[in-house]
Amino acid sequence: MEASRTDYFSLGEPKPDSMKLAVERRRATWLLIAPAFVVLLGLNLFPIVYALYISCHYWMLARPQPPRFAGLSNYQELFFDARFRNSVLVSLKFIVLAVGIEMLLGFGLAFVFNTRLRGMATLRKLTLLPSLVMPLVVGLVWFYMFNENFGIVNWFWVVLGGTRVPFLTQGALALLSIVATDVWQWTPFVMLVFFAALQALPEYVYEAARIDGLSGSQIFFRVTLPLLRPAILIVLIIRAVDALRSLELVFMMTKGGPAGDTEVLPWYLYTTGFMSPDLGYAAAMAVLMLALVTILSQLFVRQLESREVTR
Amino acid sequence: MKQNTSTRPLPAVTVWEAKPQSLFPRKRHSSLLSLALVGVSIGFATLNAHAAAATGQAGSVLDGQTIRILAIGDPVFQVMQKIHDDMEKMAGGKIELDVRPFDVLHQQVLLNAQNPTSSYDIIAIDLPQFGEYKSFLLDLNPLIKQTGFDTTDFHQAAWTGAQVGGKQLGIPIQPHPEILAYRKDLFEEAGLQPPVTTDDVLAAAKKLHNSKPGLAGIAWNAARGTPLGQTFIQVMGSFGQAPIDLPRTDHGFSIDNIKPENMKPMIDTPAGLATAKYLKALMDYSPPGILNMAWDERVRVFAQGGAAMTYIWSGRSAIYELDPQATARGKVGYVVHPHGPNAAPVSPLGGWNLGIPSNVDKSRIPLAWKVITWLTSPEMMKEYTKYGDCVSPRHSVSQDPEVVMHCPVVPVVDEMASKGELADWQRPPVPELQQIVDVLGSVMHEMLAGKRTPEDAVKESQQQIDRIMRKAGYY
Repeated sequence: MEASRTDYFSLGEPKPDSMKLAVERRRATWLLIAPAFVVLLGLNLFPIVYALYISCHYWMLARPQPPRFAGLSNYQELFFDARFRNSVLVSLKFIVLAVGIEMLLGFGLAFVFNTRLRGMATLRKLTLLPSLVMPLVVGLVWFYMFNENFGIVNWFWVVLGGTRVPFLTQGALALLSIVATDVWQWTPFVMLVFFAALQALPEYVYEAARIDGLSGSQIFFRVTLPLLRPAILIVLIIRAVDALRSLELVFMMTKGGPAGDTEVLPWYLYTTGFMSPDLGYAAAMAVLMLALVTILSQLFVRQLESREVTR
Repeated sequence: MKQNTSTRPLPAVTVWEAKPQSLFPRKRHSSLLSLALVGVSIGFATLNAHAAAATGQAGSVLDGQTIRILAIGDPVFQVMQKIHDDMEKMAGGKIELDVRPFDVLHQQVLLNAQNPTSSYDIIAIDLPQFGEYKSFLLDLNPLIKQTGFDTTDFHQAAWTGAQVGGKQLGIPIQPHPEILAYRKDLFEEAGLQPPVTTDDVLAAAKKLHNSKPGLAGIAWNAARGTPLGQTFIQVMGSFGQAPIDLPRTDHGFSIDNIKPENMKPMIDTPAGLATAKYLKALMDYSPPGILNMAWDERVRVFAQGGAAMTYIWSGRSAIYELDPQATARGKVGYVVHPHGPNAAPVSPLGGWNLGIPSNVDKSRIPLAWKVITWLTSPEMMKEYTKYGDCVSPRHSVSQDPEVVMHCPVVPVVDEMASKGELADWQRPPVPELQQIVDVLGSVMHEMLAGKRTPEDAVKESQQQIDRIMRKAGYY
């Protein structure tokens, strides 16, 4: 007997036929999403599980022997590894400085570009150019620009009467040089997102605020900023996670020097995994880095979700 | 087939040479012109015959096939990039030359070794990497015997350096020592003798540093990681100590049969400490940005007149010797690595060899071998010197007057080889070598940056390398 359309919506106990149909529908649903699910599992979960597996082994690419089970010894070693602790700390410093400056500059620039002045559209397009360049190329260009012997920045500085500045070989300055390069590349991206968010803000809210007699600064803090909060959090998540994974600038500009002052976590991981090449130890590091990225991103996502709930 | 090094015509090198001046000066008599034309035609015919023979020989190398080479951005392979199209014409096929930086090449070779079938037919191997790669490389001895490849023309140290456990794992193409280059003009002006010991280097560096605007005493590799790590163990060799506990011989150390008990690090030793102190002392006479200086930068600074001395891999001397714009051109003298107290003068031998990955498709082995013999032939080696690779591991090429004219360093190195002043034990062929280098490149950088004392740095390096050896299960 064929189930009529009204059967689906009728109240009370479902009839056996309609239950059978519901089961079939569920089965069909699973069947349809299964390929995507399998692909997702394969692409996302398998590498993570495999990294976990490797991290519990002693595996040197340079030795012909197969991986040897090592339990949690790689993690134990990491715990006592001062170089690892230093790299985590440097990474955090880099994130705070680079992302912080990018957010402030990007925010300011978005407001500047949001004004209706002649030439702004062209200027906006030009400003975006650094974000389109490969980070490796950016690193190489700035390495030569900051170079103490033949870099243009130092040359210009000396021409102006200054003495050579050790941009890439003096501890704090080297980290700041890398931060400056990152800021140069990624501020336009931050600006673009804020600019798009500003463009999407409804005009009537501002009209209402003005009618209520709010001043310019009051409108900024009570209207604009709260409305931009989701965009701010999204940019923060993207940039913070990206900065934590960033390797190219350090690779091209300092190789983690001087004396480990710019050795970010991905660079230490890279040297361990591919230069040394101790894959087990590098995998343990990667697993901890994944945990760090997850915690960091979840912090921001929670903020984003709490805002949506209270809305 | 035995290689005939003396009578074989040059393999179509005429296409790379500078264009000759005009053959037909203006305002000449027409009959003279006709005669000249006939003469030139005959000349061209002869040249063509030679070229055809040469091209025919080289053309048979690839015979329309493609060869895949994984190489390093060092002079010889940079030359190959420069003359790539001509080489393809000569070989009669496609040459896929994948040139990578040192660390990336190392990573690529190790990853390629994990593949069921190699993605490359030929790979470039640095001399000290044979220990690490020995399981991934084909023994070339059967091919050498089968084809009668003449090995006697090669420098002894270069040839035996590519052997591990009696297996010939590579053919030298750019093996060269790290030596000390110094500006003869500046030394003469200051009344200094070429440096022989590390104390001489420090004294000369002190005297010449800032003696002219923008002139530093010495340029060297102090960049973090591999550059500094390698510098440390090479200089430690000049203080008479290998990085691990190798058995001593009359001329240094033996790397023929390295046992687990030989794997103990020897960094926290008097020689290790002397090396750390020497490098720390060099800092005062180094160019700006020394903590970020590696192979390319040090030669560039020296070439531009920014340093009176530099440690240099001899092959890189072409960067200034062949550049008319270089300040240092024609003013450079070369000496073996200056040695420490009670140590013998010895320069570390390094540089590149061509080998065949053991996981290469078996059907491609004959082609790979054919290409290796061609690329390492005397004719090709002579060509490399013309285009910026001042290296010759073959005695016949080292004595060629044209090569000597292009590259003054070549006969100097040949003499060092004859005197037995080149050695390869400074970077022993063990799988953990890169880890040793990485530890030293990191810890010693902290010392140079003033975060550790030399005593602390050698102690820390010793402990870290000891942990690596224990983890590997050697003892």
